[in-house]
This record gives sequence, structure tokens and C-alpha cells, in this order.
Amino acid sequence: MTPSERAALTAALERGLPYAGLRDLEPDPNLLLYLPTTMTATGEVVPLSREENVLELACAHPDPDLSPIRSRFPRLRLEVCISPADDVRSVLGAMSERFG
Amino acid sequence: MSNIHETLAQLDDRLDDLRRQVARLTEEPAGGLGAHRLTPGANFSVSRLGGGPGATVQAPEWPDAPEEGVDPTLRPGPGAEIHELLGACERLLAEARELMGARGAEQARPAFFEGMVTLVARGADRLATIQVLEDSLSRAGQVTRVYLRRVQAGQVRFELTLTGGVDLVGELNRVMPFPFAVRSATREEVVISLEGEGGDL
Repeated sequence: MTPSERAALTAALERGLPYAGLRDLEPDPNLLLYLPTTMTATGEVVPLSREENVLELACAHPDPDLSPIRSRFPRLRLEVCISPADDVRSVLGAMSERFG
Repeated sequence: MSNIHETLAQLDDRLDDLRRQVARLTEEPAGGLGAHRLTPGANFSVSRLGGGPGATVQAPEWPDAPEEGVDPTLRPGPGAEIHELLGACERLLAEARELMGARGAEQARPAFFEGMVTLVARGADRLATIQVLEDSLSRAGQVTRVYLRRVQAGQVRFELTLTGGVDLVGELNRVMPFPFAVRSATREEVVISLEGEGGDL
């Protein structure tokens, strides 16, 4: 377990949030449409999936400011899990490349 | 398992035979009832099915002559005897089939695993427990990678990369420091529950 993974797992357990490891994960790049560019720039949140009206977000920290997503997509329910910061940045970078 | 199949087939045959006897009894006039007795084969054993001691069905013995002081009209006739046996047979068959179903499910569990296998551990909700699990899994034979994919509501999901065929359940028994029970196992996923993992790690 890397230090980044341990830190994320600790935060998740303390806050009672799910933990998700993102290694080798390739979420649909179109999910970036739900992420305002300001949030993409910070590299702390990455969308993982959308099923029905539930958008799952992996966050590097337990208290991300998700108000920009909520205000723009009020009908979406946001589910947050904690992921290693390294993983979040890596997946976000790969998605951005594929998204173009 | 073939013994069980043979015994079940024998029981089915015997049940059919008893049904035929009951049918004949109900077709014949009442006067003919006294002539019918259970055949010697009515005493059969199902102990091979795993019923253990006492799993032998035996037809109750009725005296040929009426006992003194006993009203013969109150005595159950052979029809009641056979009905009782039929009931016992049905119960034994149901139990035997249940037993075979359980054994079949056990046999469906693969002995060897390879490639990518997900291990789901229930009852792990502390950092130290999860870390110990990860470390233990990395010590299992032919496990080349252990990756913590998800933790949610006390359920931990590890992805294991295995090289070659591995007796994964055997390896878990070897390396796991906690008592555990295997809840289910397919080629892709093994679900275990940690039992009594309540220390202060």
C-alpha cells in the first residue's frame, strides 16, 4: 500500500465514505462533461461513472466543493468516494487526453 | 456420490412399489385387506445417505392374532401401515435430495484459481485489519499482485493476480491470521467473512 493509498483509505474510514483504488481504471471520457473546467484544473475530483441520475465521483479529499456540479446539474445525485490523490490525478489526466 | 444416486433410485423404486400396493388395497374389497402384508423388502436402510444411526425405516410389527382385551377394529390396518411408510419415504427422499444439492454446490466450487481473481472480505472495517489482509494475501503462493480496489460498508474488495493454478482457499487457510469462512467461490470471485476479528489492531 503506497502512502497515498494509505492516506486516502484512512480518510475514507474516518469519514465513513467508500474508498476506491483507481489503478488501471479507464472511465468514459465523456463524463468530463459533468465536471466544470475549474474543477478539472484542481485535479482533485474525477467522475467515475454515471448510472441513471447518479454520478459517482472519486475525490482526493473528503470535503470537496461540489457546489459547481450541484448547481449546474441539480437533478443529478452525487456519490463520493475517496481515492488516492495520485490515482485521481492520473485518471483525470488520461481522461482529458482521450477527451481531446 | 454414485452410491447416493443408486440408493435414491432404489428408494424411488420402493416408493413406487408401495404406491402400487396402496392402490391395490384401495381397489379390493375390505375382506381382502387382512391378506396383505408388507413384503419382506419393506425394511430398507438409508444409512448410506448419511442419515447416521437410526436412519433405518422399519415397518411396525402387528401381531397376526388379535391381542386379548384389544378391540381389533381399533387396530390400524395394513393401509395405515403403508401410508406411514410412504410418509417416511417421502421425508427421507426430500432430505437425501437436499443433501445431494448441498454436496453439488460444494463441488461447484473450483479447486484451483488463476489469472485475475477478486477476493471480497466481509467484516473488515479498520485500517489495520485491511493492511494485515493485504500483507497476508501478498504472502499467498503464486499471488503476484494484490490491489485494494474498494472498501465500503465493512466490505473490502481485493484484486489478486495469480500465476498458474492456485489452490486459493488452501492458500488463504495458510496465510490468513484471522479465522474466516468462505461464503462463496467462483472462478472470478471468492467471498469470505472474517469471524471474530475484534482485536485492537
